[in-house]
Amino acid sequence: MVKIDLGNTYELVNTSLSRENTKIDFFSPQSNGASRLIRVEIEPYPDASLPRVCNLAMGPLTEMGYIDDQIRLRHQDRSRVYSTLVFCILGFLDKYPDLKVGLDGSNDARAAVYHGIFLANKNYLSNYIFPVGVDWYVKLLRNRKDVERHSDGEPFFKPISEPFDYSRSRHDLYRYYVVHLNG
Amino acid sequence: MDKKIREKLDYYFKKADESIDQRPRPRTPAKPDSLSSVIRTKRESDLFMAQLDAMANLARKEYLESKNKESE
Repeated sequence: MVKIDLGNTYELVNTSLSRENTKIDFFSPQSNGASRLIRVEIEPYPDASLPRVCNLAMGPLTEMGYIDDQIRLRHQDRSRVYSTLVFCILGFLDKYPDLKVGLDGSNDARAAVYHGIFLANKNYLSNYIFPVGVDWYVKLLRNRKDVERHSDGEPFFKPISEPFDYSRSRHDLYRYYVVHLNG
Repeated sequence: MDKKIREKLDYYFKKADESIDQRPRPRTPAKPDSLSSVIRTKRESDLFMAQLDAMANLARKEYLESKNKESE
């Protein structure tokens, strides 16, 4: 279980904070004894129609300088890594309280980590931030036999958000998570 | 917010102001995001943002109510 403690984070070695592009680096010791530089990046959502939602990415850098957020790392202290991540999110939201940070749940493993963190640290985190869960839904037509569809026949999904439901286990993940500041 | 966490944030804000790296860095290419598959129009995005703001207000209200109950 990941236990968030904002008093126990890794030192941030490079911090560049702005609405348009926030980059924060820290080193995370790995179980093999090596230390990996981890970058946290928060950028505006690529679609201009959501100007107050920012995307979060975290991971080591590739040779090209991009964040590899698919790699599996064996951190010595996962709680400290994710405490550092939450600290970065808190810092960003504290600086720009009108913005929200989105966590894409399209990768099940990653979504399960975020979901587990919110579940296990509800009381502690509520002093700083709140999560919102977003699901997709599709409308059942009045004939009760079919659902609303695009012209190509694909179901017409729409987003629906709710305050994070703490009775939902890690087997019932949201599709997307949004974090906003308590303040 | 806990005073020590406040001080820690302020320390890093100051550090960030002093050390902003102005060198051009590679920008991560925009990845397809799952949310973009379900928000297609301005009306949908406006509705989504209004939902999020309502959730934020509700969460804050519930938090304050729970804190008030604790202090009673």
